Amino acid sequence: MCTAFLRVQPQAWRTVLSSNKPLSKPPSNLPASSERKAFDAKEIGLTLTIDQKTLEEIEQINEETIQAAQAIRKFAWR
Amino acid sequence: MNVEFTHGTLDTNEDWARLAEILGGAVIRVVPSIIRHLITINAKSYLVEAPYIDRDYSSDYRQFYSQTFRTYGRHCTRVHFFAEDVGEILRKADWAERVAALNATTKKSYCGFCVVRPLPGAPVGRTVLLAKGPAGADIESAVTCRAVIRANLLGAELDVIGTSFMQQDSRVGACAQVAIWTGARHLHQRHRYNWLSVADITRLAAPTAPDEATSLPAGSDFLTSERMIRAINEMGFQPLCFDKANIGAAILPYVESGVPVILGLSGAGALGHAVTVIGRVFAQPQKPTAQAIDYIGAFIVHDDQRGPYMLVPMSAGSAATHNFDANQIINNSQGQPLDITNNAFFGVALMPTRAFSTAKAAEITARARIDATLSDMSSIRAKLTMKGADVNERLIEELITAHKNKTILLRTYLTSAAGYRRHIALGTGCDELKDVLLCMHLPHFTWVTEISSIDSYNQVSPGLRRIYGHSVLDATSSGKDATGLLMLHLPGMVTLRNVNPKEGQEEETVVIIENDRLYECREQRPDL
Repeated sequence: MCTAFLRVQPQAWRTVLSSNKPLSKPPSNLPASSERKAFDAKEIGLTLTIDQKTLEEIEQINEETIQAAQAIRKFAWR
Repeated sequence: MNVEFTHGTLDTNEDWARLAEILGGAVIRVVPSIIRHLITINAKSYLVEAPYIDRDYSSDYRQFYSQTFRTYGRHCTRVHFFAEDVGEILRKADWAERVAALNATTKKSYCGFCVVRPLPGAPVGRTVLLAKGPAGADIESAVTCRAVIRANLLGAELDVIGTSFMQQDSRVGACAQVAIWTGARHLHQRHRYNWLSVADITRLAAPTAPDEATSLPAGSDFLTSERMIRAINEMGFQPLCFDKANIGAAILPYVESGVPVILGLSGAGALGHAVTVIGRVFAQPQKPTAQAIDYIGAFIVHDDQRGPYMLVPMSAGSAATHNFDANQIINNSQGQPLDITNNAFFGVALMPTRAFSTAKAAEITARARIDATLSDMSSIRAKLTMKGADVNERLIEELITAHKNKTILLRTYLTSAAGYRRHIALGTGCDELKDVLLCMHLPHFTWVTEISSIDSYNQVSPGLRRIYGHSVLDATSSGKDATGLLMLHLPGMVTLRNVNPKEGQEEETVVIIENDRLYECREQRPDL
């Protein structure tokens, strides 16, 4: 007799979801990988926030790029 | 009708001449370049498959060649190349055995293929050859726009890592369309963007001004910059333009990111020639500087008129300094070699749709924060010491010295969150650093700016280039957004931004990395 047909089939999703059993424990968080020293950046005097001068520099470069790009508008490529 | 196969070896000059004839003849300008590249990648034999239906040619045929009075063939020929003689494989008893043996050549000796179209003046259709740039004692190449491309040969699946190339036919499209096609095809093959043929690109570059409607079919002779940009936008990418000033430095972060850049090279009058930048050649400078562009000897380009994997040197003297093959350098119609400094005056990158800030904004932001932090480091260290936290003295001192001497070198590139995490996880940073960085919540695209010194970066071998730290900027921020910088790693410390802090949480946190060390720059892995 072929035994391949006797394998236990997985339960249908309806069967699984209609079970009246109480919910088992929720998924658990992974343990923290290791303890590290961490501080509020303000207390240390560090910040990632960009200052106004840098923002103005970016704005200035953008304006120059626009002006330069206008000069090549009608160039053709073959 | 059966598909017919013929096989040839590539041992003698006569063999190469025969192959040139199969590819359309040595008088076709791109054919000698293809032969040159095949010699470089050590091709030993070829297999001709005929007839072959090529999707790109079929698209062009449907939109143009089927309407001409002259009859053009519908089918192509495809020539496969191998770095071994596959004659033995092809002499096996039947195709099942041959296919099994051919399958074993994938990624091993398979060097790619070339589609030969039935167009007498422009026979070289879609061609993918194994990516390789020049190498030498002081140079190192990276084809950054490369993907795994699969050819199916009677059921054998043959993979090659390269960038698609094609010769322009001047009927359906000019260099501009083929340059865009090269970039778009790479993004299709690597990142699943839309598949588009040259005919599709010509259609999308619809003329809207009198000077754009001076050839028939419209766009077959040339495209203006505006039409190129329109087509790129219609194709679903964000066009980002660069002007002549420092164009090499401007496009470098995009090339390093694997973003294709269409480069406009000067020609006669108001007509120029467009090529696609697909990689770069690192070349050790005689006088190292703190600018990443000064370590680039040439950009690797696909030129639809001159061939695949060609070079545009950075300056007129670069080719001689680094001993580049003269046959690999792009010349103008008078035979004069072209270079970036003197001849490149327009660039447009095919940017993905989810990146909203530029490399320049990312690098200016990173530099400003690095400058401010290193200038104030004595105070920062004092505060950390008071809290019982020490940072790596040696590395931070080295970086402060480099900052004082203006020898800090920054290198910026765009990466996906997945690509960034893969690099960090597999890289040589210390485990504590990996612990912090791998848990960061990131947008899909970020700009990374690596922090090196001239000494730590100036190495021919990419595996020896080291960084002291790096910054991560949210590429979905405007680039002018004060809170775009998400992370800054300097030796011994990582500053992290919590973009959406909950009540009671700090917006910015400093984490101490006790066993910090130098780690590898991100470099393109040859196996992808």
